[in-house]
Parts: sequence; C-alpha cells; structure tokens
Amino acid sequence: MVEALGISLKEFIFYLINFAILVGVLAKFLYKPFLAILDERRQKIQDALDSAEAANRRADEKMDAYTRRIANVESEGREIIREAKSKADAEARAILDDAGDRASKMITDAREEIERDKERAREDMKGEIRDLALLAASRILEQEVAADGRQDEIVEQILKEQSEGKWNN
Amino acid sequence: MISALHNIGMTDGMITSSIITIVLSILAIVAGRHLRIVPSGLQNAVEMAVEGLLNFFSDIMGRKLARQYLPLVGTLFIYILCCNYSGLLPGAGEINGLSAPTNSINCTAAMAITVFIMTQVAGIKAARGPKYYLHLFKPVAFIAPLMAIEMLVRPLSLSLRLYGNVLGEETATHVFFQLIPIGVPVIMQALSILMGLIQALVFSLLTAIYLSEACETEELEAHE
Repeated sequence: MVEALGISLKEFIFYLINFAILVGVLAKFLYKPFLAILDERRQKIQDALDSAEAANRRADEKMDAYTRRIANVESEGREIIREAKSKADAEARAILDDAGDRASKMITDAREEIERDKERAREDMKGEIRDLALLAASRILEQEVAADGRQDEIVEQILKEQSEGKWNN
Repeated sequence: MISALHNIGMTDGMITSSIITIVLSILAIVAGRHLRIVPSGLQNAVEMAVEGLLNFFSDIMGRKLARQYLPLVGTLFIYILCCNYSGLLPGAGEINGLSAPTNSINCTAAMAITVFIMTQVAGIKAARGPKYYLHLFKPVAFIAPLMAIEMLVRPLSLSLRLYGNVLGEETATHVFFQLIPIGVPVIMQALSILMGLIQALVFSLLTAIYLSEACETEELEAHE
C-alpha cells in the first residue's frame, strides 16, 4: 500500500535533507544578511530623522533666542533713552534750581549790600549833619556878638563848602 | 547524466528539487554578497522579496516571531512556489529530470514533518519545557485526545493538501491537453500559475499560524 501511494522513505529523507540544506543556506546567505542590512538602513534612516528633528529643534531654539534678544534690544534701547531723558530732565531741573538759588542769593546779597550802603550813607549823613551842626554852632557862637543877621550867611557858606567837597575827610 | 541519477534511485522530482535548491542557494549567495546601504540591481529585488515576506508573516505572527522563523516560513514559500512553477515549465513531466517535486507525496510530507517538528520545538522553547503539552488539556482535560489528534493531523493535512492540489492540477491540465490541445491548456496554465502561488501561500501561512499558536499558547500559560 505504501508503495502504491508512492511513499518512499529514501525519497522522503532526501527531500527532508534537501529542504534542511536549503533552509540553512538561505538563512545564512539570504535572510541573515538582508535582515541585517534592512535593520541597518532603518536605523540609519531613524538616526537621520532624529538628527534632522534635533537640528530643526536647535534652529527653532536659536530663532526664539534671536527673537527674544531683538525684543530685548528694543526694550533695552527704550529703557536707555528713557533713563537718559529722565537724567537730562533731572540735570536740567538741578541746573535751574541752582541758578534760581544763585539768583535769589545774589538778590539777597545785593539787597543786603544796598541796606549796608544805605546804613553807611545814613551814618555818614548823620556824622556830616553832626559836624555841620557843630560847625554851624561854633560859627554862630563866634559871630554872635555881631548880631548883624549874618547867621544865615554863615549857614549858606557852610553848605556851599560842603557841596564843594571841602569837608571830605 | 540524468540516467546515471535515475540509476542511483533519484526520481525526476528529486532532480528538479536539487536543481531548485542549487539555483536558489547560488542566487542567495550572489545576492547576499557586498550588500550596500543604498541598494541596486539584484540586491534591490531580493530586498523587496525578503522585506515583503517579513511584512506578510509579521501580520500573522508578529514582528518578533516572524523574524525568528522567517528562514523556515520564507523558505517554505519560496521553495514550494519554485517547485509548483517548475511543473509549468515546457516539457515538465515529459522531459527526463524535470517534474514538479510537490507532485510527490514524499516532498510534501517531508516539509509537513519539518513543520510539525519545528512547531513542537517552538512550543517547547517558548514554554521552556515539555509543559507546552499541557495546552492539550485546556479548557477541559477530557478533550485531550481530540486536541492530540488535531495536532497530529496537521502534517497530514498540510502534505495531502499540497500534494493533492498539485497532482490534481497537473492531471487536469494533462487530460485537457489530450482532449482539446489548443486554447484550454493555456487557460489551465494561467490557472496553474495562480494555484501554484496560492498553494505556496497556504502552506507557509498555515505554518506561520501553527508556530504563532504554539508560542502564544505557552506565553498565555506562562502569564497564568
């Protein structure tokens, strides 16, 4: 019956060995190297994609950093201008205040000087009037006996002498 | 030379099988040399074939198992396809030394037994021991004989399916050729191309399923 079905142990073993050899050869020379190269390529592509993604991320980060720096530069510029302006305003205000102080001091000084001059003039005048009074009194006393009404003349003379500066000591 | 091979007991199918093995081996050795990251020519075509097989079996067994058992299931597919198509060559069955090896029950049985043994090995390996056979007693112990029969029948069904299909196909083509020599044999040849592919696919697909089941069963039990 086995013969009738065409079953042959020898043939069966031959096919078994034949197939085993084919599996071994293909596993070693076909599947192993090709799967390895496919894996290597997949890995390389993955690495390249990762690298490209990382490069994109770095580029984005740099772009963000530049954008931030530009924004900072603008705001810093505005800050510098604002500070310079406020400083200039403060200086101007200080100068004006100083000028005002100095002007008011000068005015005060001038007023004091004027007061002092006025005082001095008043004192001088008092002295002169006193001298005049003493002189007039002495002249009147000198010529009293005459009683000829020359007191007015004496006074006039004294005033004249004073105006001519003869009494300036 | 062919006569000498016949004299030492080699059949036409065995000679064809040897030629297929030698040609495939040479092709693999030539294609596998000097592989480059950027493929070209033969490497390109073989890569497509290997990757296609890997993807196809990955869908059934998962990537890890497919990679592990690709040498078996992939070689089964390629070898059976070549064997089936060798029967379509002009003069196949008529010329000495040229006959489809799958036309012989010995060839299909050899492959089916190989699959059976590999399935047991894969199951035992996945279960890390003979407890792999405990799955025969699941879900209830009394169905163990049925489960065992199912397991033992698999190589028989694999070998007979392939053998019967190829033999029936060749016989039908031969009969049609004798009845109407013009026209009909061409249609039969076209159908044979399709059937040869389908049979190779079914055999390797079932092998992948058996291997996958053997490994999955043990994984599930290991989890329990």
